[in-house]
Amino acid sequence: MTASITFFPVGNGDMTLITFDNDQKLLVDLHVRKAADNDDDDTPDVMADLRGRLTRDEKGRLFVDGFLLSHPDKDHICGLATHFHLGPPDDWKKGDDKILIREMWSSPVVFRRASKDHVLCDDAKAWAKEARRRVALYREKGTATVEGDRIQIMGEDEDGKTDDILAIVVKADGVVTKLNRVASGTFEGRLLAPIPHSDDEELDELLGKNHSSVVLRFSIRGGGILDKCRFLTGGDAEVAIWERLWGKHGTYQADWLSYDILQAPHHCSWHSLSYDSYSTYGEDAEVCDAARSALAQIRKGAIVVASSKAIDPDEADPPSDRAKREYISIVDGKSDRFICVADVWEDEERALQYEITSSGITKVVKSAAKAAVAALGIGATAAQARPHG
Amino acid sequence: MATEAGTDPAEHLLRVALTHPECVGGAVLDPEGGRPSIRIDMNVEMPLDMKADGISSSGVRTCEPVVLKLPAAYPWQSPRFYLREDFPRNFPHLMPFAVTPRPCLVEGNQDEYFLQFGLVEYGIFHLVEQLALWLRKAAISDLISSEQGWEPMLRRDFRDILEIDADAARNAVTKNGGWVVWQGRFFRRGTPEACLNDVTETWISSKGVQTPLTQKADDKTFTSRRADLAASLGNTLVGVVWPDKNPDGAPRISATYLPESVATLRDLRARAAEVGCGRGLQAFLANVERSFTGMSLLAPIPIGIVLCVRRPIHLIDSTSDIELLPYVVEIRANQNRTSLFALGDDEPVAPTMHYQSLTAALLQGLSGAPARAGLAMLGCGSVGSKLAMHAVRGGQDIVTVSDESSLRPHNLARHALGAEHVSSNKAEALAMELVGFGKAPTVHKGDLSHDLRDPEHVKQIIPKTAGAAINSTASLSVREALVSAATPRLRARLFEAALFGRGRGAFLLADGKGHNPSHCDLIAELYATIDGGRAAELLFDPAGGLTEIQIGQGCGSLTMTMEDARLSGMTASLSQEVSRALDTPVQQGLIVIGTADEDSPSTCWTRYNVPAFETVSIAGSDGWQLRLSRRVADRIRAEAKACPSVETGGVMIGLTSARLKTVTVVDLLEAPADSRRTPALFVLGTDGLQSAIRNRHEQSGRTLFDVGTWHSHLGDEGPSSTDWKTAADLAAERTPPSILLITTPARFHALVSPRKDGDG
Repeated sequence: MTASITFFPVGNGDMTLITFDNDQKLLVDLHVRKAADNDDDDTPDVMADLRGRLTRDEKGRLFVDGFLLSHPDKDHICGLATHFHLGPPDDWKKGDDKILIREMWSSPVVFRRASKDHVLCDDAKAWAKEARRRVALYREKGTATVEGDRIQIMGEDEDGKTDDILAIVVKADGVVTKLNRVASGTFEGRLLAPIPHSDDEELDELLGKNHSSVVLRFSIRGGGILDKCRFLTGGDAEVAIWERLWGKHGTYQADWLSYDILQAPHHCSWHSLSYDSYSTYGEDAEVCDAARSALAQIRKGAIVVASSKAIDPDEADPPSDRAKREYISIVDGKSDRFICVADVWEDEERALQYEITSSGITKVVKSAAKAAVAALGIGATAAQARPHG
Repeated sequence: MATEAGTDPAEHLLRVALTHPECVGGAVLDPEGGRPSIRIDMNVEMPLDMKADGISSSGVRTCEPVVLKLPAAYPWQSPRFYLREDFPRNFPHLMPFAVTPRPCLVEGNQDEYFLQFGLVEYGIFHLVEQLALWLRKAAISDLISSEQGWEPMLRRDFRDILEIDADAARNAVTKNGGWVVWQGRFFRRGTPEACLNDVTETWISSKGVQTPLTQKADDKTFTSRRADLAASLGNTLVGVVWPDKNPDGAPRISATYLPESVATLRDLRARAAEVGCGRGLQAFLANVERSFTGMSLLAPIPIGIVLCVRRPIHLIDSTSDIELLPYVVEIRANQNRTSLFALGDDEPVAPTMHYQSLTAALLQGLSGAPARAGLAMLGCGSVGSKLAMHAVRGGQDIVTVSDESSLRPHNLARHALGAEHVSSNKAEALAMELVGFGKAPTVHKGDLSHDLRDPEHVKQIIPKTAGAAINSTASLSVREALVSAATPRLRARLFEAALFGRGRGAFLLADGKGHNPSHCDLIAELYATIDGGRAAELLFDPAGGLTEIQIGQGCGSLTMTMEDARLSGMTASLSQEVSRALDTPVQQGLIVIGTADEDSPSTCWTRYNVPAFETVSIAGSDGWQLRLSRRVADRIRAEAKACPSVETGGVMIGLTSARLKTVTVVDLLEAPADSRRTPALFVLGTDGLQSAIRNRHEQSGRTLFDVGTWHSHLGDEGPSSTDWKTAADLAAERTPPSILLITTPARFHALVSPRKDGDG
């Protein structure tokens, strides 16, 4: 099986599928807009695309081996209840044909009560409920839980709510190597955030809601060779997080931040790179050097992927054209190494996909058969059976 | 030429190419030699780190210019693709020798590929797609896929040929380097002055027989005679050279792909050195030179050279990691020579295609057939000869062929052999044909129905080396004789193949483990179980049924009309069924029956598995045996069990063979209504029995008849005095033996009244 990373065209939102070379699949975030489920709408039908990439288990259920929710914002979780099975796996119904999540990867934010600063959409509430169900089951059964009941928590809860379940908690700066209990060396994920509770209240305040975004740097095996692709993804983590990460790791382990593919945080928002408001300061807005450094640890040929709508300098941030220019400067000034998922959809009508093989990371080209239909206006292949003499 | 009226073909080609997503630019070029051509710029996706450099680790650029030239016959021929001249050369799938590198875009013939698309535009698009794929793979040197195996050097367009068994060459390879010389034959087209790589064409073949390199007075190692003005043939040699090991003792592995570019002896020496064969080649050539000391030979003689190159992985479609690189070079032993190679290191050397010699492995490979045990052919008529040829073409050995008759002119209507064999004995003629396939079957020309009854003859007709014997004589006497020969010592599985109903029907019988059920059991079972369908209609048709299956025997065969194609069609299926049966472990017997529609090409085949027959010795006889079909035996036991308090019984239907001393039971008739059942006695009634027996006889195409009666005993006692008396009464009433079968809870008993005349 060829490892790959697929970025689905979901506008300003994240929806990314990582396929490992043992065919395990990890979905990172979900953003299925209502229009995407409407056949009459031009919005890409990302769920049909996703489902086509998944396989069914012996009970006929489509499944993902893991689902990582970076943080419970609508543009990262929308469509969960509609398309994914929640509740005990035995309650899965053929008629609904929803996707089973074998193992959830959740931030500890699910233990927090909703509050004025912590407003949750329905799908986020459903995620939290399902996560709590799985944690409760773990407390009851330990590791005897089955696929569909499993969970790993990305980071410790600040109020000690994860202290009794540390076996399923990945601590900040630690690594996650198992997906659905399988540890076959296909990947290693370095958990960089959420960062544990700080005494610096002012900073905590500043970090606000996106405090909870999971930042993971994956090192992915390709064609059996370790570390062929480093993928840095950080949900909506903002400048303060990146600044802190650089402060923490910049001197001794900057390598933890290095990448071949960076998913530009917060849909290419300027606020991941700068404390200054671009609308106020315009081109005078200054980049936070530390945050930029955290996001600039490129390996040779690295690219930045903006999971956002098309970038228009005249439109509101995100996505930010100023941020785009900064990212291009990070990737050696090569504009072709900054790719907006919406542009790929516009040009090729498909998700952006990179294959990870023993040779490296290669963009998957547009299907020629599909292109032929469009270009030549004709249908299926004209191949005829050829007789052997 | 253009597909659109008034459109310039080059412009049209460019426009279509540009519709491909990876084709990012291009231009119409000035016609070259009057032929239109264009350049297209292909985007090549490659790993991010290489893309950053604009060039891949293998030397492919992110944007590659490719020239497309339109041949004169376009669009009846595909456009030709040319890469830039400095395109890296160390890939497979690059045409050898091309000055401007040409990618090999499709497996097989590119023109054929192009022409399979009715629309020229679609064909162009798909060729550009193949090009895009080729370039992407080339960028990451992935044209050799380690899973698929090592891609051998492209040699398909060479005009010279070396025909050897690749396995034999590979088997010669040892851990230490070396070389070996094989005897060979050559055919050379071209005048004596003509050179390789120019107009001379050669074909060298070798059966892999080793020969010393010594030249004696009457030596026949090298000979040459003129076939005509511009062709010669004779004896030559093939030198097989393999690599020395590395200084550290490890095997020498050549992991770099090199296109075939050898054109001179100098190139060959260099290539040999690159793959570790330099020392071996040098020694071989020096020995050839030495063996000619003091000799001269006017005609040029091509000799074959095979470099065995060890690759890091197995070759595609092979388990071996040894790639064979065959070449041909000519020696000219002129009297005043300084070397056998007239031009020294500039002597032309032609890379050749390798043709695999005709071996069982080659035929098995092409047939997709496993190695199967050899066959003994009993009968070499039209069916037998075709079965033999099918088997041998699948790489199977034919160890014996038996037939007493000669091939007569009328046999040619359907026989596998050609007219040159007319008047020869059929077995001899078939054997001769098989020699060409490297087989040497023993020929038996005796009467099979006689000889199969002699154990010494059986050892010749079906030797131990035969895994199976096929009786295709369509002779009832041969069938019985073969069954009589089927002792436990005979290991071969026995088959009978026959056609009936003017070739509209065919059957195959395969006996079971330990030759039980036998062919006689199986044919009886076939008669008993065949329903009233097409098979029964054909089988029992008085005009073309089993009574007329003796194709090729007797004068009656002249009137049997059937097309060769019909016979071949049915026989081909029988052949496949024989193979299938040989590939599956033997337990039960097998009947395969096929029937063809009268007016359509549809043929319907059915397989029946037949379990071993149960055997009971017949008391009162001199060695007769009752053979019960498992179906019948189970039915008797079930009926007896269903009457636990009274004796019950019925009539047995089957066949009798006086020669085999067997009574075979394959069906039962229920006891008539007026039969009486008591705890100590069963009396078979008579109401309607005669007509029931007659009906059964008719229904089976007049093959099956009543062979006796059966009844149950409540206890485990054998025949009672009443039973013996009844047996005596029955014997008095009719000539054929009439058997009494008694079933007790534990076993069967069978008896017959001893005939007064002692016939049993």
